[in-house]
Amino acid sequence: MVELGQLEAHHDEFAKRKTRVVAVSVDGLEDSKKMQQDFPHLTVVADHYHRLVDAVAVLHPGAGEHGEDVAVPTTILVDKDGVVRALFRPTSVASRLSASEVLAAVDKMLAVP
Amino acid sequence: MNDLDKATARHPGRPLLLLGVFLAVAGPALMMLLTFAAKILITPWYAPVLGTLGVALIILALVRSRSIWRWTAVVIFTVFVGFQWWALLAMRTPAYTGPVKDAQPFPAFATTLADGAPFTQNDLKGDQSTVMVFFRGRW
Repeated sequence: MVELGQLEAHHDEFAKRKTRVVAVSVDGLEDSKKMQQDFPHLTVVADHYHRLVDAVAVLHPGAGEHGEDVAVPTTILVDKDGVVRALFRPTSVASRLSASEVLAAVDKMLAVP
Repeated sequence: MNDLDKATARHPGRPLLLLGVFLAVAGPALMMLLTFAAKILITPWYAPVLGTLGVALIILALVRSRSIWRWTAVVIFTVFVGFQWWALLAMRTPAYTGPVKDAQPFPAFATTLADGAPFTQNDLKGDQSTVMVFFRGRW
């Protein structure tokens, strides 16, 4: 969980920008609860019924390590009015935006005039 | 002739072989180091590139001196590096074709948070902006 760990470690930087980080888990409910304990400054969504990933169309059926359904790594910036301001998707499942890159995107895309 | 020269004369191409093996295994080791120690998450293209260079050196060593061990090394590391290339290509993510669009309201949804509280698109409105991360696996 390198990605979430980095975001958790920078939680104060996100707070300064009045931005919260929502991590969407498609794992089971107990895994999501544990994740919330491990990353207390993130908001963990327990989306084991795929209601959110289906709405956003980021499910990657059967692409998990053991053939399970997983999310395609995707980061979406949403402003205070619930309007999408940016969507980032890496070209490889092994690649992610670093926390610094996410913060830079927040400054650029979600800056309050 | 010193001992190193004698050894090289007895086993021509051995330094190439050793360097090749080192490069072939260096890529995955570097990936582990970057991901889990340095926590840098980038596409590990360098692993199969280093591995391919390593296999080329092992083949050169085989050309210099043929032995069953060198043939075995070529086969093993070619398969190993081939797997790395396959994994790299298999890691490609599909292009996004879903309903999320810039400057459009977030699509409607109704799900729950880990604590059981409901969570819908209306919860994205308020005094905070949101970074929504759909994460995957151990990364």
